[in-house]
Amino acid sequence: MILIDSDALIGFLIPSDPHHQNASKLFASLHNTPLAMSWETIDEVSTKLSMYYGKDVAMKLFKLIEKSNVKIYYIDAINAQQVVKIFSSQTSKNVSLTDCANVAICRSLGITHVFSFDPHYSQNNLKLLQN
Amino acid sequence: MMIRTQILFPPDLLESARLYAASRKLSLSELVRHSLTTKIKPKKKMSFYVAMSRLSKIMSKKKIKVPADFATNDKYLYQRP
Repeated sequence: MILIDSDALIGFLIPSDPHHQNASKLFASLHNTPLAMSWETIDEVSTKLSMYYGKDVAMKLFKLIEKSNVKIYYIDAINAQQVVKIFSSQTSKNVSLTDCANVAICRSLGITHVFSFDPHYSQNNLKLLQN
Repeated sequence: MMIRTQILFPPDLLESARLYAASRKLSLSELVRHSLTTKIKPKKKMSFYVAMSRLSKIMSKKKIKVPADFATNDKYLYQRP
């Protein structure tokens, strides 16, 4: 299973994004791979799309996610403690709580690879998908 | 594994259901399970890649320009265009 982060998804969605070509190739190569996303990632993507493209696009995102085979994972009270632990252990202030939630989800599910271009995941012993 | 639950029926429907089940040598539970299984079919999910490709097309039609670091910079979560 591969966890998808917001930077890769937005990079795929927007053709002018610097990561678009790379994200498109990687995403297309995952058609037989089970995919997962955290609710926190959906929060980030939908908020950005709503701000720039309108609420209708954010609502379309929700509907398409619901119709698709991506598995959504939620942070509950138990793994929230783990998220905070991971957050407190980060040396960079640029690592968001969402990033830490994604790391916690990967650790709890045994996910080793993240579809992202964010080097912080490598620093947390996760592998980034590469061409 | 089966899970026990309770269902409320209008008396007429319950009587009809019992008669229907008996005529086919089924228990009422079997009839309810069979009826629901045929009524509720799990929807086939589309691939996430296909779903997001559709969204990308919808977004492209809007012809909106976003900053180059839109995907990676969290400031756009709160900063209006």
